[in-house]
Amino acid sequence: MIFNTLNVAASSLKTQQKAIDVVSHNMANVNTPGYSRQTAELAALSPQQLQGFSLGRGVDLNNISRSVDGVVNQAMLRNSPQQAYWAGVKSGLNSVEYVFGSLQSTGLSSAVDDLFLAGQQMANAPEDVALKLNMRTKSSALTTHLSNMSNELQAAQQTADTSIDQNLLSANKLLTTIASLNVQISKNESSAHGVVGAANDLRDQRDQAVRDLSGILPIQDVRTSDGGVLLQTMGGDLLLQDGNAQQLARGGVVANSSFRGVVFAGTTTPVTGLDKGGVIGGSIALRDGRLAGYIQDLDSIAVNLSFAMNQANASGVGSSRASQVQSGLGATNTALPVDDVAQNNPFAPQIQNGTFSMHVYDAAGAPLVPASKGTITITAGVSTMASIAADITTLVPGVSASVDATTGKLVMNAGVNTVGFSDDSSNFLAAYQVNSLFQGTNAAGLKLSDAVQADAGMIATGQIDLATSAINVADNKAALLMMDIQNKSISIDGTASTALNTRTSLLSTKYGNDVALAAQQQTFFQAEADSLSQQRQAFSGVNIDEELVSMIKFQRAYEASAKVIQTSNLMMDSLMGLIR
Amino acid sequence: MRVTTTQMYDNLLAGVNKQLAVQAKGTEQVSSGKRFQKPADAGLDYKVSLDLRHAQAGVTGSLDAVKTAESRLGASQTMLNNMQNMMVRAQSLAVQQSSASLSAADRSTAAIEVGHLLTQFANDANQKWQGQSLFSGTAVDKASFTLDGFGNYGYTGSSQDRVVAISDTLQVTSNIRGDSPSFAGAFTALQDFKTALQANDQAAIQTALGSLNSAGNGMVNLTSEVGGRLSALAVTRTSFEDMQFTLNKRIDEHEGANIPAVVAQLQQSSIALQASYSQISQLKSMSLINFLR
Repeated sequence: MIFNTLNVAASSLKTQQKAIDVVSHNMANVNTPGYSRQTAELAALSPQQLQGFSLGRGVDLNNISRSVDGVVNQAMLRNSPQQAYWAGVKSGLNSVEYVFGSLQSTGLSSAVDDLFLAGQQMANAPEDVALKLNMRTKSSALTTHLSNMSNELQAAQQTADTSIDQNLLSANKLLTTIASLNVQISKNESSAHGVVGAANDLRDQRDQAVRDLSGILPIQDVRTSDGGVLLQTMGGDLLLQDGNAQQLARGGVVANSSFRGVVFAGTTTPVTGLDKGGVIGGSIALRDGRLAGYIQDLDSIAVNLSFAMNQANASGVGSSRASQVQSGLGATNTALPVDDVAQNNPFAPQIQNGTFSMHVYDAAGAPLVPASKGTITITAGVSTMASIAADITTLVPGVSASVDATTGKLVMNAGVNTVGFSDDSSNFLAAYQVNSLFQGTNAAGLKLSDAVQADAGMIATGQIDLATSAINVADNKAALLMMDIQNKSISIDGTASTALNTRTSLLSTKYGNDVALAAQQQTFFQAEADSLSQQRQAFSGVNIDEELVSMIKFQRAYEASAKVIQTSNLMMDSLMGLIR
Repeated sequence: MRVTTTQMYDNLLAGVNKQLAVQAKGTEQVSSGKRFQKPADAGLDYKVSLDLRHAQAGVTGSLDAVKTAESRLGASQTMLNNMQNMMVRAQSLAVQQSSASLSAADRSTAAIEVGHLLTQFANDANQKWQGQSLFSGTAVDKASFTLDGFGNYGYTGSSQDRVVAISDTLQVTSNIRGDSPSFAGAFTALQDFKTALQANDQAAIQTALGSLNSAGNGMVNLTSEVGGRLSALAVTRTSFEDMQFTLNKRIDEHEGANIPAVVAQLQQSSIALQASYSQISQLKSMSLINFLR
């Protein structure tokens, strides 16, 4: 019987020692991300029947349980993609904040105001060369601003695109890790080993990896009956099953985008449901949504500004005229009508039936005698760059015109004389940027025309008298037309007809509202994530005080069991003394 | 609910981050005096600011334009006053020379003075302001009047007025054109008076007196017209100056930070921040570990 007591005490010593091991493991992992508190579950050993009595055999460690709240875990899986998505969008938008200026320097908006203020000053004293130089400087500042903004936003798009590559690498690594953990868990928990809860820590690692993956791309987590995990995208594509994980890669360029999509590696099958959340979804939304939208708005500002100002400039005249004039844009196909969409000219649809006149002046600046003028007729759907060049050569005295074979640009040469343009009712001059203020077809490429860049006197302020070809130096008709553009609603690109300054302020507002929405959503999902994290901590977290109390309990039980052994030993000594 | 030390540290850290954000925003507002700086701070408010500044830029341009027109018309008015004075002198001479008691020699002497008046009148009519002819319309690089082969002054400027754009909806004419009949009338009257004096023709002098009176009235009318335009411009200028003042005030009200409120908020946040720091330092001693020996 005394040996039985010793065996009972020994079982306790062993069990309390194991329980302290569990406590120790908990305390060691108090700061481990994703770790779930473990509990040693003790149970009395089955009793033995002796002489009609049921005598206990001691204690054993029945199970090491893991404290996990499945509901909270699933909620975290739903929250994580949203939180990561909006954090990514917000971070990306914040990174381009400087592009949109501040009250200290209102950027594009003040550049537009400065341009029209310079235009007004020039209109009110068109003979003043200094004001033309000022107009050129402000025009150049505006084009530089538009170009810089567009380039910065395109660079941000590239950064967002690069981050997709980096996140795909992380996602592939996590998929591989989860698949590997699936296999290990299955192996550790298989009945052959017979150890209950043998894969507690591996399950924690897998749950954490799945949570990390859900932050990169939104996933559906399906638990299988054998303890495995099956992962799908939100679009229903299988990502992972048991030990088999798909890998993700970049595919071909997606329609309506200049960037490559995300596909399953080795296939051209696109991964669906990426737009539902995750940091990759956030990067795509930032790249193809917000940033692309801002670039489109800038392009719209550029083409509307450029065409409207060029319309006024093309039919006007400055204090200087050129002998050789070349169009800023060329015809892609010189045999096709100049207004054909195939010309790939955003201004071509503005060309209509009409005429423009060219006036020729001698070296002294006087209208050429006996004739100084030629009028060219443009017929929409008929006139080609080649036919226009031929008409100029035929109808304008002393001017020969040709089409550059390489660029398709119209080249006019007046020899020792100079030429001026007037009364363009066809819009041809503005559409192909002849005698223009600006050159370019989008924000990134917009710049001052080469002629104005070389000589500010080429900025038109007045208009040539159609009948006499006379030019008055203080005539400001063209400059007044330019000034009118400031607050006039215009649209040549299918966008809503809006004034330029409204377009610029709307762009800033759009950006501000996007940031506000992203910040509000990110704050909401972050608060939800914090709450879920708190709930998880409350259920699965390690409380040092609790563990220390448990440790004391197990330690005291251990000491008590040791005392039982000591007492049993004394009893054995007493018994042996009887024999001696 | 179970509470772990990790939860407590996380909560305190979140609080510290929140208060640091309040401190950063408050400091920015105090240092700049503005309640927002960037579109990201307040999208719609930023748009209102841009719209106000756009209006402000427009008013600045309008005031510049008013000054340009006032200067140009002011210079014209000075010249017209001079020319008007010459017409008055010519009229005075005509009254004297119409007397039958004067001799041909007297009238010849007077003719010399009238000749000087005519030349001076032509000089004033060809006056330049900032290097540009005042009365030649938009042909400012040309003289307004030139002598033809018969010794008559003819207008050689353009028939287009110099328009100053005060805003995109308000344009004013900032010049008096030399092809106004008043100029031609004055030149003709002076020329005829001079011819009559040289010819010692008393009847023609009487006729010239009537023409001079009429031409003088014409110059007075032109001067009055310029004065009227300048008065209208003064009203316009005052209106734009009022608008500028209102806009500046509106911008200050719209963008200005409520400094006392911000400072109070900073103080509150500072106290909360200090309490959080204190609690973090105390948390380490609030564990069973410190009591187990």
